[in-house]
Amino acid sequence: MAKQPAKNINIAIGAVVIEDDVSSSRLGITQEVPEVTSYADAGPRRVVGNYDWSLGLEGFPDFASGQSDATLFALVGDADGAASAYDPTGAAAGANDPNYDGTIVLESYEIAGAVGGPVTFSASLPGTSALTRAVA
Amino acid sequence: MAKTAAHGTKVWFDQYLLESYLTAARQRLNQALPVVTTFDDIGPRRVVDNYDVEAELSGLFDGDSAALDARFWALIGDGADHYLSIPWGSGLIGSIVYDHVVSARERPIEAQLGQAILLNGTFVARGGTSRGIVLRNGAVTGTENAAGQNLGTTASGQTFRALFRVISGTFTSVAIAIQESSDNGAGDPYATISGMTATVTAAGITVLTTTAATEAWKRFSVTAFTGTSVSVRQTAGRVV
Repeated sequence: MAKQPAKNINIAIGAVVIEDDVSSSRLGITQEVPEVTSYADAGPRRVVGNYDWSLGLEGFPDFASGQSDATLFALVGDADGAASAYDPTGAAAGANDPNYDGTIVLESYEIAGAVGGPVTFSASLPGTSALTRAVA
Repeated sequence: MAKTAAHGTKVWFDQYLLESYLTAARQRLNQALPVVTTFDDIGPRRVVDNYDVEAELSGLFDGDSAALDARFWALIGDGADHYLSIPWGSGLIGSIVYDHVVSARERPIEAQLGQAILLNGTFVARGGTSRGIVLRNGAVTGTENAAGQNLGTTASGQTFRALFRVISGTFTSVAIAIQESSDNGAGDPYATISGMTATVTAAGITVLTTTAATEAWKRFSVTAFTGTSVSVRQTAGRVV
């Protein structure tokens, strides 16, 4: 599968498809790489520990029932979070179509609007589970 | 209500309508997520704690009495609850509205050569936020029942809150009630939610709450009115 335009991305929070409200997204994975460089080393030495991940979304909230605004706000106070699905190619998981799946919770949800523009939203959704990269 | 242009957004601060002064608005909800990842976990683990809310209003300075500058100035040193409601994109009945309880944190005036004087306000929450629905927006001229709205049920222990704003009018008193029904009155007639009534005789904001279980459909009702006309805004929702 070749390089992808952003418009192919499929994103779901729980059972709600929200790529129709998203204009920018970021799936970030950060790995623990504590430094263990010693006097005897030329150049750095690091070991690999656990990792953290987070899904960032920006777009235009749909205030209709069951859509993005209701879905994101419903995560306030939700200790269980929600399943997240991030599919960069927009296709079901396959050898050339990775699907990133995990469980997220809501860290921040912002709505804004200015004269002349649309109402916009941004949300930060850190992971609270392992992140899987499904290819089948 | 789908995606919407920012134009049409309303901003109601206590009983004052601020949209005619404002050019931008922003609300941000932050939820605390302590990390509880252990050696045994693959990937992160987090638990959900409390939340906080901050709102920013950007607008145009107006020094007239009872205008924006006077409204924001009155908040300095004021430790009382104030209610900020933002129906994004539209304030029509049935629109989604976020209701916040806030205090003002700062209100800078900015002036640049060649531009209008700006007045901004930053507000921080001092109570719970709700995502609810506008139940009434307009002039009341007599007893009435507004259209019912499906806000969803609330369970015992959850706070259902209604904010009734009297903006202005020629009237002596208006008695209101928030009523509930399981099916929008189709088979279950609307009935007043216990404790959610008020009689108002002047402009201001009235806060009605209940922690009893409530049914899904709610509506705004005027049960008595003495006067010619009064402009009101009614919003309601479950406090998270």
